[in-house]
Amino acid sequence: MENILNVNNLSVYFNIQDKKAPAVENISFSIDSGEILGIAGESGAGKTVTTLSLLGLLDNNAEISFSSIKFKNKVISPINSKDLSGILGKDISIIFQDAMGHMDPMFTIGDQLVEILNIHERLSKDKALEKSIDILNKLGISSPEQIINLYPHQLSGGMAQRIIIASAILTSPSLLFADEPTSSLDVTLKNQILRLLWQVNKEFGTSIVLISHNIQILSNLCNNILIMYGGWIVEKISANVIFNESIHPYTIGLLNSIPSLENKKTLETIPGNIPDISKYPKGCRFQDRCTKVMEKCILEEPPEIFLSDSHYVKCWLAYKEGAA
Amino acid sequence: MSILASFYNLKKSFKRKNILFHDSRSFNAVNNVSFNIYKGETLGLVGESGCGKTTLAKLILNLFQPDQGEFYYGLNQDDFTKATFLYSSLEPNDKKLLIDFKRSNDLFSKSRKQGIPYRKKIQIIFQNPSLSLNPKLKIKDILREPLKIHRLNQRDNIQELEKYLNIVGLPPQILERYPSNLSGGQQQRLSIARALILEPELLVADEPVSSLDISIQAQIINLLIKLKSEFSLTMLFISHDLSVIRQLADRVAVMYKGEIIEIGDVDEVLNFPAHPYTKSLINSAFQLSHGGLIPQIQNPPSDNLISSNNRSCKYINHCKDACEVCKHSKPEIIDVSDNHKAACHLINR
Repeated sequence: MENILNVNNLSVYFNIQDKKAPAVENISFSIDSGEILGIAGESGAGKTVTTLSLLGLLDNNAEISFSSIKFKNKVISPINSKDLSGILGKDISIIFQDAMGHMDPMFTIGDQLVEILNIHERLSKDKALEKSIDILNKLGISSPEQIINLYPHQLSGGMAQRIIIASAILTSPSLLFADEPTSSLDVTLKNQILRLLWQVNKEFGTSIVLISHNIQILSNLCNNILIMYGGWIVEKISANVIFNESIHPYTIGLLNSIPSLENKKTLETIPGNIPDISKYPKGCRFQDRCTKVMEKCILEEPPEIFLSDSHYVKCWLAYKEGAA
Repeated sequence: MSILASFYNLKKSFKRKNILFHDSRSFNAVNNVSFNIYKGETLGLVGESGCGKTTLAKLILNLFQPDQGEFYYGLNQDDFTKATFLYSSLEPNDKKLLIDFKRSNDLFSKSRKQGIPYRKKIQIIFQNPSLSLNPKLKIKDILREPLKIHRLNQRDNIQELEKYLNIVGLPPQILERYPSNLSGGQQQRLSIARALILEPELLVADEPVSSLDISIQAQIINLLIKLKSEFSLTMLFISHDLSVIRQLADRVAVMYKGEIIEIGDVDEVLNFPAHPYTKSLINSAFQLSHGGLIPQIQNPPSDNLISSNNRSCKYINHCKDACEVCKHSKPEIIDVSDNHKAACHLINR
């Protein structure tokens, strides 16, 4: 399959008290067209920073460096706003966690959808409205003719998130970033929204980068999952085999700490907290919380090891097994 | 098992005012809720947001005044049996006895001063630790505050505070710091310590893990399980996540639109749910699965919306098996089996 986005050695540093703090360091990944890629990790692992840096949405105190970023085989640079202006919002869109906060309270839903089409596809108001209603219909939102006349505060949380998804796919983008699209929603709503995203992926062929701290959701929806910790991608693995073949102690710890609905079990925990971004230890960043820590982990940064095409791990344990 | 607390016909409504049209409508957040909490158990309370879980918790803590309803706490078992009998009885003589019983025992009708000893026995952990800790107080002052309020001066010393920090797994050095210096998980540990320092009997935990990361969530769940047996606590654990309830609770109550629609042993309710709403909650919970599957949505709102009035079942618009009876009468909560009750017309069918 064809790569739609290819990121090589992306790093993002923040200047905190005159010191460079690595929020994301030397990560490389790619997304095939039509793929759903999951990014998992605790808060502070660098999931959102990765997305925002690719879209050029970070503040000025961030320092971005990379060896190459390719979108549809074209080299782009997120630092250069000219490169992005034709692509952002049209070919790449993003859905944020807080749907309500990303709508203008002073305009109706219709106005906001029309504006997007106006800017990116230069459609007239009537045609744009027609297309918006068409997309809302395709997403299975009931009575779109009424909804476009409503203001954001008249929508429920679930409906607001649906409208945001609709607005993100209005211009039929080929890549969609979804940053925790469901974490502020209820269990039953969560399902409906995720199903909608899944439907978007299948019907429109949109590739999706789904960011969530909930590894259960990711394992249900995604093709591949990246596990992030302390600004590194510590493991990349296919979702089908994450339960059986994951190697990194952090991935295994995350999986074991999920409570199950079927039976009562003692939850295993990962001791301690995520380290401070400005005070990462030398060597492996997971060393303080790792149950299998070795002398090597404290001294040297773990190597990046490819076990197969779809399985990557950054851990000394994999090295010991002679897979390098 | 002996009863620790029982609630009868709790009701709380809020007024929604529309200034523009001089119109005010009331909205029943908690409607006719009755249940018991047994000594030493963990009762889980689930439901979607807006169903009245937190309102119920605040009523128990007396942070809201109920519109109606009685709360009996820590009576001897004969009195609890008497209450159960009086409330289920239809005899006019018993009604008079009931009024007397209420007057002498109901916690809600006690004055503020009379209620203080009970407040010490019932403590709460809130959902958002950073909002429930005063940012201007040092951690030692946060822990001392409940001791001061209840005039427990002999326990107000550093050793005691350090002991409680140790119990919840926090280092004693943090006493001089402020809550903003702690991470989310540590803040939640601190609010647990603050609740435990009064040695309560009943601990109300209102979504204590839902704002935490999954690895920290597991730490807090394990801590609560450990503390419950150490302090022989009774716990009311509120959550919207059924799998968390499964790990912690002995019994579970399911709320929908202000009413308890199903209550019973946790295994019984989760394995053999009787109410269609409970079924849809269980079906929509995410499980670890091996890729490519999303649980089916069980309750799409049906197209012909029936205006649900006070006499119809509240779940009628989402229920695919709704029939004529459901439109005209509201289901009473009835026994499904031992230790399992539900409010649905379809149970005995």
